[in-house]
Formats: sequence, C-alpha cells, structure tokens
Amino acid sequence: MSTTTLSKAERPQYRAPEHRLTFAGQLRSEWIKFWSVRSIVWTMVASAVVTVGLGAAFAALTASFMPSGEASEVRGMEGFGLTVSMGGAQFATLVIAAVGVIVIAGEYSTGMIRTSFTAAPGRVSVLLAKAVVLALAVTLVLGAAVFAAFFLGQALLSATDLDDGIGDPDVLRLLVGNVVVLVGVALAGLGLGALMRNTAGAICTMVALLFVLPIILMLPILPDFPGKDALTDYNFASTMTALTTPEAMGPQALSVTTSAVAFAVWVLAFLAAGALVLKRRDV
Amino acid sequence: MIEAVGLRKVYGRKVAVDDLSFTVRPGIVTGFLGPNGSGKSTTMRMILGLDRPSAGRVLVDGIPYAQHRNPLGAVGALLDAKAVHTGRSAFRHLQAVAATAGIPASRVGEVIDMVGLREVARKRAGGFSLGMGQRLGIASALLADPSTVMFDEPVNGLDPDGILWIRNLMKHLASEGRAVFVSSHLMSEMALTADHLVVIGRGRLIADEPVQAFIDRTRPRGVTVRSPQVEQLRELVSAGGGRIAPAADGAFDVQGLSPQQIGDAAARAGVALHELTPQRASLEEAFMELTADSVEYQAHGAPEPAAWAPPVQNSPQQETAQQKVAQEVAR
Repeated sequence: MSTTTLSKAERPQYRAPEHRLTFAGQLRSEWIKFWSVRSIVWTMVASAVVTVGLGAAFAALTASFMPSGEASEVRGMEGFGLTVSMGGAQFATLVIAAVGVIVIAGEYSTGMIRTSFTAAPGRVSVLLAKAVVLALAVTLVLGAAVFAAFFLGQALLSATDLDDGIGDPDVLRLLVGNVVVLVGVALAGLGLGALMRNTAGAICTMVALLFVLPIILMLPILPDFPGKDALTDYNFASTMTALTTPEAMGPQALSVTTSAVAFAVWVLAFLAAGALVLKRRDV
Repeated sequence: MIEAVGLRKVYGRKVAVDDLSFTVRPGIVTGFLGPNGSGKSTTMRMILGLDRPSAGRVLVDGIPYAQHRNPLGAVGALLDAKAVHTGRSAFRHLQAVAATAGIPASRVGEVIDMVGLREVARKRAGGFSLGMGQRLGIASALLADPSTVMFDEPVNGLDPDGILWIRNLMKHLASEGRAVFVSSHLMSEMALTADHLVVIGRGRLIADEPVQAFIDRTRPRGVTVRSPQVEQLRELVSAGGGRIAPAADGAFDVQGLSPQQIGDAAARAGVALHELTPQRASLEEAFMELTADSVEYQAHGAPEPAAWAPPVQNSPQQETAQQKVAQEVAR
C-alpha cells in the first residue's frame, strides 16, 4: 500500500447529520409523491368527474323518461333516487382502482421504487404509507364527489318525486357505503399493483374482478360447478353490493355486516399479498 | 464504510456474484471496476438491501443497511439515472425523498444548486437528458449528507465538463472523510479518480488493492529509445543481452534491459540518446492482462463463453437492461 493511501485512510470517518426515518416522514413523502405526478392527479380528477357527471346524467335521463305520474313501481321506493345518482360512483370504482395501481406500479415501471426502498429499506412501511395517503385522498376527493353527485342528482329528480332526502332512512349509510367502497377498491388496486408490478396487467385484472366476473357468474348458460354459489355471493364485486344498494330494493345475498366484513377481508388480502411480494422480491 | 463478506447472488442458474469480499474505507475513493455484466450493479443493490444475497452478507458501518435508523445518511446512492419517476419534477422528487427522514426543505435547494439543476428543477424528470438525470441522482444521493457515497457509473452520459465536476466531487467527498465507492467499466476513468481498486470479473474478485499496486502487477514493458546513432545503439543493446526492434516514428523498442542499463551503456559508448522512456502499463493494460488470465483460468472449469468478451448469452441483468430500453421506447 502506498504511503499516500495510508495517510488518506487514516482520516476520521465523516459523520452524517442526525436524521431519522419515521412513519410520519414517510406519510409526508407519499403525500408529496401522490400529488406531484400528473397521471395520478388527472385520474383522481377523472374519478370525481365520472362520479358527479355520470350520476347527474343518469338522474337527468331518469327524470326525462319517468315524468310525474308514471313509474308507479319505483315511486315511493326508498333509495331509488339515491341509486340513480350513484350510477357514476359505480363506474368510478374502476377509475379509482387504477389510481391505486398507478401509485405503486408506476414506481416499478420507472425505477422510482429503488429510490423509495433505499430511503425506507423496511419496504412494508412504504406500502402502508401509500395506503394511508391513498385512503385519505380518496376519502376527501370522492367523499366530496359522492355527496355532490347525490345532491345534484336529487335536484334533477325533484320534479319527478323520485328524489330522496339526505335525512331519509338508509340514505346516509348508503352514501358512506359508496365512499367506503371507493376507498376499499383503491386500496385493493394498490395491493394488486404491488403484487403484479405492472400497471396494465393490474388494471385489466381489476376490470375482470369488478365487471367481467360478476357478469359471467350471472350468465344462465353457465353450468353449475362446486363453489359456484359461494363465488357468486363472495366474489370481490359482490361484497360491495349490500354496501351500496338500498334495502328497499329487495333482499341481498349478504347482510350489510357480512358484506362489510367480506369486503374488508378482500381489501386486506390484496394489500397483504402485495406486501408479501414487495417485501421478498428483489427490485 | 462498507464491508462485504462472501457475497453471492444467483439468478436462476446464473451466478452473478460469487464469494465476493471487500472493504470500502472512509477517506479514499474506491473504484469498483469490471466489465459490463460483471456483477457491479448487483453488488451495489445488495449493499442497499434491494437485492437479497444468496449467501454472505454486507454491512454498512457495522450493520446491514436496512437496520439503519437513518439509511439515507448511511449511504447516499446513485444507482442509475432511472431510479426516478419520470412524471415528477426534480424538485418534488428530492422533496419527497427528503421528507422520509425529516431532512429540512432548505437542503433540497442546496443539493439542486450543488449539482447545477436550478433552472430545470421544476421540469419533469422524464424530459431530462442522461447527464441531467445523473445530476439529479447525485443530488438525491447527497441529500442526507451521508457518510458513505456510492455511485454506479456516474460519468455515463455526462459531458466533459460534468465528468471533470464529478471527479472533483468524489475526491472532495473522500477528503471530508467519507467512504466513496464508485463503479465503472472505464479503467482510464478509475486511473484518474480512484485511490483503491476493487476489481471483479464475472462476479469474482480479481483484485482488491491500491491503484498503483494493481498497475505494478503487470509484466514489465520495454523501453522506448531514440538515438541518431542507430547502429551503435543496436550493438550496445545486443552486447548487453537485450533485444531491439524498430518502433513507430523512428524510435526503437528495447526489451530485456532497464532504462538505467541502456542509459549507462550509451554513456560509456558515447552514444547520444534523444529519448529513453520506460513503458509503463496503463491501468487499462493492467486490467486486460489480469482479465486475460481470468479467461484462461475460467476456461478450464466452466464451458461458457469468455468472461471478458461481451457476454453472448442472456444474463438476467441484460434482460432487465433490455426491458428498460423497451420500456423507454414504449414511453
């Protein structure tokens, strides 16, 4: 070893200033990340537009096709007006699932995930922080959108007598139920994104789970197979039904409580599967 | 300070890193040298816990990287320019990284100025040139003012100005007592910046020694001699037991005699010398020689393509590199 190297090696090691990785810091970091990527912000805006816009459109169409005096079947049915105005929120589940997917899969596709995991090498806390921030953002934005869609929809329906009031039985529960479903689907998207690491693949899977599977299960030509009933009642999309459908619309396969628990189990399972893969796989 | 002990990483059936042990000490620049695909980036990812070693362990200041309470302060890493979300501005990216450890916002401005990205800090990182991406990566690495810095191929895509800047930066960081670990496949680059070398080929350690010691390992070269008295020169060289052959530009290449022997003999014989230059192996040549040995050594045990030729088979790294290119094209 040369003498210059020796003397250089004798330098005392530099001490980095005291900082500490904290979960609060990670939450701040994820909040900054969430709102600083255009694709996420625009998809959030799109989900709100779909919720309010489609809801209002359905209400306006209903009002024009069901003027006063007709539609005797639904007249007086509690929650009919609400259901019409929540038509947009139903479609928004897919859009908001995409937000959840993009939040994590976008980091894998760009390589950002390596920066995130270098800053927080425990990794699971990254997913948790993302989940908290996502849940908060969806609650704020789509919470407002769901209530806006309700009031706008009822205003459009008021001439037909089909409208519901916010104080009517079941209405507040269903509005909250719609927001809970949107938050849960976003979180499921996050888990699926972490599991699959691929935006397009995870979104396609979500479309299949939310829209394709329930339709296939309803096809009359579908033959019976073991577990078909359980799958019909407990597939991811079905667990949302009782949370967003008025009781007056007829009995549901699952009670509200069972439904809520099953839905929560699904969401947690997506997140847990995502966390497991993200913790174990190399990046 | 980084200590790797018996590091090994296997992807499927391909051994990317094999029984690698080395130490990166504070106060000096340690060059991490090896051809493309030799396992440098894999090793660096294992240091940060991004890749899990198949065997062995690597410690940063005595504990695994993932156990540091202030990981960004333990190692500041430039992994590659693509560890950034392309849709986010440089400023927001750095702000988000800083927030995890409560690094003050003022520091974000500091590192942006340090790397010269002030004018483009509010622009999306996806539009950055390779050189600007490297500067952003370096800014991110320096955010927490870390005690060890680790740069993977930092001069990639930088203009001459930027290359000079980063050389000086690395020397400066080392002079402050930081451990500086920098990978390159360019031996000439390492000759200019590194004090110490960790050389790997095909995932195996080839050398772990000061730069000069690495160069000294090469076989002695000849001496370039220039003289107007060509015949006398030939005579005194063959009398001394050396061999002489014409080289480019009217000079002669003398083998088997030291410069001192040639000079003394020429003085005694009254032969005028216009040049007497010992041929010293460059780092590049030293590298080629040692790796040539490694090829011979490898050829007996493993019936695979030569390690030092560009790898023909699809290694996992190559595949990811190809995927990255494909993704970029798609974008």
